[in-house]
Amino acid sequence: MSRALLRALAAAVVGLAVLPVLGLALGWFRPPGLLAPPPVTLDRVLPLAGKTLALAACVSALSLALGTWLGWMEQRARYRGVRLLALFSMLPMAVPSYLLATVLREVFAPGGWFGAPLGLTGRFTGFWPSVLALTIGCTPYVQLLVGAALRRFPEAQEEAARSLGAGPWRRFAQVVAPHLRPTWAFALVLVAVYVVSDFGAVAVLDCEVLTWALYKARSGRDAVLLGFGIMAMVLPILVAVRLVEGRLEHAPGASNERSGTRRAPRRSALALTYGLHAVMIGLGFALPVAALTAWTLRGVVHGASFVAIGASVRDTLLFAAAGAVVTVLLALAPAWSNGRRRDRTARLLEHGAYVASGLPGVLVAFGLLQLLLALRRTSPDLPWQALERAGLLLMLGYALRYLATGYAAIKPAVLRLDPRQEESARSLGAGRFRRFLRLSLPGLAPGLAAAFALVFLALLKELPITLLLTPIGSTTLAFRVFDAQREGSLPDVGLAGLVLLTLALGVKLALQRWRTHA
Amino acid sequence: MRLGVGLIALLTLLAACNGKEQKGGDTKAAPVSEAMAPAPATEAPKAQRLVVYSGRGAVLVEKLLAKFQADTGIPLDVRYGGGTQELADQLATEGAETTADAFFAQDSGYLGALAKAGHLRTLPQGLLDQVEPRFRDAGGHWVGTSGRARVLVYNPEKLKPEDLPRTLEALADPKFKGRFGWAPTNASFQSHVSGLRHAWGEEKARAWLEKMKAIEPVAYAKNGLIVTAVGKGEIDLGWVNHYYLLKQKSTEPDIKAANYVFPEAGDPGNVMMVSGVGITAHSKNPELAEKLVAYLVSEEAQKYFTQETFEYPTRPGLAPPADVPAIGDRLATIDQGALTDLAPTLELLKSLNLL
Repeated sequence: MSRALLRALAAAVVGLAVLPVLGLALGWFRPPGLLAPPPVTLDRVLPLAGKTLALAACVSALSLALGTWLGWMEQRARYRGVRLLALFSMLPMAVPSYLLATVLREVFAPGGWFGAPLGLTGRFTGFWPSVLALTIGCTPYVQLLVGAALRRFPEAQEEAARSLGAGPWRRFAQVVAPHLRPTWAFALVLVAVYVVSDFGAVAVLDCEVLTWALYKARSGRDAVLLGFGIMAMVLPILVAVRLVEGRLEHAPGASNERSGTRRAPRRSALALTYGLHAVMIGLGFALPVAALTAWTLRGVVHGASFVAIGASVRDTLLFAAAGAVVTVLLALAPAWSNGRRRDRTARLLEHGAYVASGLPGVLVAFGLLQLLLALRRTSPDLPWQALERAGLLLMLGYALRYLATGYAAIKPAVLRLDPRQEESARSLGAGRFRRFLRLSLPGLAPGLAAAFALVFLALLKELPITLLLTPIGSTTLAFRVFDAQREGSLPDVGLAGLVLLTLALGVKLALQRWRTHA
Repeated sequence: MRLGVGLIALLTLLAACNGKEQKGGDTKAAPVSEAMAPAPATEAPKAQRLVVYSGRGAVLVEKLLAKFQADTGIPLDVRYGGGTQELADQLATEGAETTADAFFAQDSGYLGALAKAGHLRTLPQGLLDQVEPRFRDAGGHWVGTSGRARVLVYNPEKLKPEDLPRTLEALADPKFKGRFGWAPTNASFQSHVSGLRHAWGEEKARAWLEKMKAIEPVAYAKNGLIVTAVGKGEIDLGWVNHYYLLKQKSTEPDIKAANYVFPEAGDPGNVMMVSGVGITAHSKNPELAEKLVAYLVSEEAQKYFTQETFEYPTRPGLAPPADVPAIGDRLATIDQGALTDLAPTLELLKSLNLL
């Protein structure tokens, strides 16, 4: 394939991101449904936008503080179980936000496991419970980023400050903090975009923010306006992510890994650290596992007639696998093109891929749904129904949402390919296809497999695109959890949640092992 | 690498199983027939898959629909998700392009609205006659599949029956301020308010809703969540359909919640709501859809509704399940036409910022 053609293909893949935006715009002209849509006013959008921003600000601030503390202690302090706790701290990442939110809502209800002894009154939903759920979900990411930054930080500077008599707080503020600033900025925008895009936690906890309002509105100009409201909020953050990420890539001294000197912390610091670990791992992982198990067992003991989830397990695995394959194939074009040629266009394509993947899932799904309806209206004779039934719309939604995940895993593999080998093969008369099959593909295989596994893991847990675009007649585990929690059927939430968690954890652990041994 | 290969192998195997299953389903599909009773499994063209939009949750009706597939061999594709309101709206927007053959609604309100807008076809009289006249559309566009009594659910540790109002109107009592939950976005709630508009008149219904707003009700998305909330003590009482408590009791016998029927006979709070099904105007498989409708009002399906979802049968001659509230002699006389008069109700609820 010629370079120009490859680049055109890469541009076309990134350009797919226009489809949901186009669909969103076409939604404005959609004929009204059964009920007259509410009047379109900014009065409705602005409070939602304000609450969304407030949620993002609270979760970002808390995650940054907690993640930095835990990352710092993990890298610098010596205490019992530090390595094991660091490993366990990552477990909440396997728990989807809607599952965690369901568990928190139930256990903190007035008669719940924690709500009763704490004497809580009223429902555990809304803004602050959402802050709690999302903070638990986001802190491990910050902890990972801060930990990685601290591992790369030159030890000599800290030692020099120590020898000059600077205490731990002063050393942190004057020596370490300036080094961590780009990481914090990156973590901040990453968490902010995660929160603004989140659908699961805010839906379960009924927190009136843009994504949840968009899902509830679903049709009419009201929904279109909400969709563009989300875009107006997310796009600047995504651009900020790209800018900060660019700076991080070029940060000096970013390559010297070190196994820092660990010192025994003060007792108060130790107590705080153990307490935070207990809260984060306890609420983020142990509690969901315990609650889901208890709900399932309660159903079994009382002979509940569980919904059959065998087909949902099958559909979940099939859609996640097919979605991961499609995503990896689509991501290959920009990754290959950009890995081979680093110029302004390549950078633009890369930015485009990341920005496209940053659009919230509920927005992507809603936009694609509107596009399909518009196409069905304008060209009713084309086989739209067959395409929808084949799951193509779902695959497209998945691919758009996780294009960057696939891209990020494949591009380093492309960069590692040795062009000299290809030149030799060419000079020996090997054709383009043969060169790709014999030389490039084996070299790319680890990157492709990593991309597949990462996207597969994300798709197992994905909710909004799955809810809105799953082909009719199919149900996934994510849908099962969401449907059962809305019906108040906790045994069904328990069973579907446990299976989903087991699958996600299994893939995550396998991925971890594979990375360790790779 | 091995991980990726392993996963792909596993999924290929699953895909193969899936394919086999679907083929099996197709070969058993039934032919188009005029029979009202479920047909025995025979050959049917592969394209004839019946598409159902279900406003009733998968947790409640999936098993029954799976049994319909197994018993009749008619392959079924069911769209769940959202709820009755969202799916009815989607159906109306899709219009002639819809793929749906049947609409299975949690409540008759949206069936009525769809019928009024011309999105449902008239059912054969033979089908309509399967259920009691009070459980079907006077215009013949839909038929009731099960009945649910509107009740209060309360926490016996917080309230005694004598503390509860004798009429729905008296529910707007300041003593319940912040202690009461309802679900204004739910189809049953909206149908009941439609009924109140007809029973009380527009002005009284609006005034009552305004008084209710003053007691600061907690809004939930669904009835099941209200029952859980009462059981956990989040709120002391809520306005729901009766069967959610009975379903929850089956897995949580000690749940601290009880149903309550207004003691005054004929009170507009005592209403029997109807879940129902209709065939879409643009259905590509109306004959198969009729088979589904026939199945849902058959004795077998009616037994499912009484035993699995604890609802009242709509077919005459069948006994309601044990433990359902004895509401029969206290029901208000509100006809289905009133319960399905939805559009003005939605306007009213929007004007009060309840939606």
